[in-house]
Amino acid sequence: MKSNRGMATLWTASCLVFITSLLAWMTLQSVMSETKRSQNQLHTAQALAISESLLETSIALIDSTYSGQNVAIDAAFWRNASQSQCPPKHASLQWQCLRWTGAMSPFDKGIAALAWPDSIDTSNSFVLFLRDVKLAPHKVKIWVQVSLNTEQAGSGSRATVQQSVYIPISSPWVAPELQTPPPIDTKPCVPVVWQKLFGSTSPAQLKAISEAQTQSGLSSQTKPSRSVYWIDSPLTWTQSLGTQGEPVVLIFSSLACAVQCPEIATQAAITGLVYFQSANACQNPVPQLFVQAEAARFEWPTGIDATRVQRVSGSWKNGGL
Amino acid sequence: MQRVFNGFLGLGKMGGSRQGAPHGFTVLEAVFASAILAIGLSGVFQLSAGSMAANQSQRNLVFASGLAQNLAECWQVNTAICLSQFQASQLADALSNEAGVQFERSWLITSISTSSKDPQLLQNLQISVKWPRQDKIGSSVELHWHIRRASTPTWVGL
Repeated sequence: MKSNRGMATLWTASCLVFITSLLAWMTLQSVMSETKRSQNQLHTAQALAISESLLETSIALIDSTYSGQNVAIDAAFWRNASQSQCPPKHASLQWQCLRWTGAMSPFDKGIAALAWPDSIDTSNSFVLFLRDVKLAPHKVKIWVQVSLNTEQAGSGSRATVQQSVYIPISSPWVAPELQTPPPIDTKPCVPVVWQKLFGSTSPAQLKAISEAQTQSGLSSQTKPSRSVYWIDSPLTWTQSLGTQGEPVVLIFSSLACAVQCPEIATQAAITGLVYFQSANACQNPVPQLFVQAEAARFEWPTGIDATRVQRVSGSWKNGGL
Repeated sequence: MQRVFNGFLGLGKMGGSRQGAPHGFTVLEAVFASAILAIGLSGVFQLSAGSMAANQSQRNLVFASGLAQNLAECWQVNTAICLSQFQASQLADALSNEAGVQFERSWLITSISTSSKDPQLLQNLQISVKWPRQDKIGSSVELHWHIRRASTPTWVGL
C-alpha cells in the first residue's frame, strides 16, 4: 500500500502537469493560428500591391504605345493576339486577347515592353489584354494575375486585379449641325461627308479597326460577323455583306479609288454603308448610303477627349474576369 | 525510508494503510514529483514565452505593414494631405505603436523609363519601415514595400 500512496502522488503531479501543458499547448496553438492568419493577410496585401504595380505598368505601356503615335501602332500592339489566349468566357471571335508573360514579350519590336516589378513569379503570372473588336475596339480590359516568387516570405500568394482603359482608336460620333457649307475658294477643302458619317473618327482609325477585325478572325461567315471593311483593292466587289441586325461599313480607300472607284456587282447585296474615299473627297463626296454607319460608331462617354489614353471610371476590380 | 510529510493533501491517509505504519511521502517521491512538475512548468513557460514573443513580433510586423500600406495608398490618391506629404521625393518619419516600439519609415520615389514623352508616366514608390528587434538588442527588422503608379488619368465625366 505504501507504493500505492507514492503512485497517487506521481499520478496527481503528472495529471496537473499534463493539464497545464495541454492548456498551454492550446493557447500556443491559438496564438500561432492568429499569427499565421495575420501573416497570410500580410502576404495577400503584398500580392495585391504587386498586382496593382503590374496593372499600372501595363496601363503605362498602353499609354506610351498609343499616345502621340500613329494609329497604325494598334496593329503592331495586337499582332500576336489570338483566340486561344482568351479565357473561356470570352471564347467568341469578336474578342481579341493578348497574353503578356514576364518571360516573353508578345509585342512587335517597335513597342518597348516595360520591366515587371520585382517579387513576381514570372512563370505563374501574366497580363491579359482583351477587347471586343466589333462593339468596343476602343476599350481595352487589362487583367493581371500575380504570384509571389520564392524570394518572398509569402511565396505563392496570388492576387488578381483588372481595369479598363480607353484607347484613341475611334472618336465619339456627334450628329453634325446643319449649316451652309463655306465657299470652297476661301476655306481649305474639308471632306464634309466623311465627317457627317463618321464624325471625327479618322480614315486611319477605321482602317485600324478593320485590320483588328481581320486579325481577330472575323468575317462575313463567322458569328458574330465582321462589321468594318477597309478595302484597298480596285476590283469589283462581288460579296454580299451585312444583315438588318448586323449592318456593315464598307470603305473603298483612296488607294482603291486611285484610278476609278471599284464597282459593286449587281448580285452583291450590302446592308449597311458603302463609302468611296475618292482621291479628292471634296469633289466627289456622294457615298452610296443604305443605312447609317452604325457599325463604325462606338459608345463613348459624352464630352470625352478621345485623343488620349484614359482609364474607364469604376472599372477597377479585385478578382477574375 | 523515513517519512517526512505527514498527511500532505490527505493522500498519506488514503488507500487503507495498516495500523502503526508511518504515513506521508518519501523524499524520493517528493523529489520525483517536483522534478516532473518543474520540467512541465519550464516547458509551459517556454511555450508561453515563445508564443508571446511571436505574437509581439507579428504585431510589430502588422503595424509596420500598416504604416507602409497607408503611405502607399496615400501616394495613389491626390488629396491635399497626401500631396503635401510627398512634396519631396525622399523623406523619413518616426512613429511608435501602443507598446512604445519606435518605427522609422522612409520612402523614395523614382521614375521608370518608358517610350512616352512624359518622364513621369510610370513611377515607383519604395517604402522602408524599420523597427528594433525585441529579442536581440541592437539589431532591427526592416520591411520593404513597393508600389507603381501610372499618371494616366481617369475619365470621370464633365
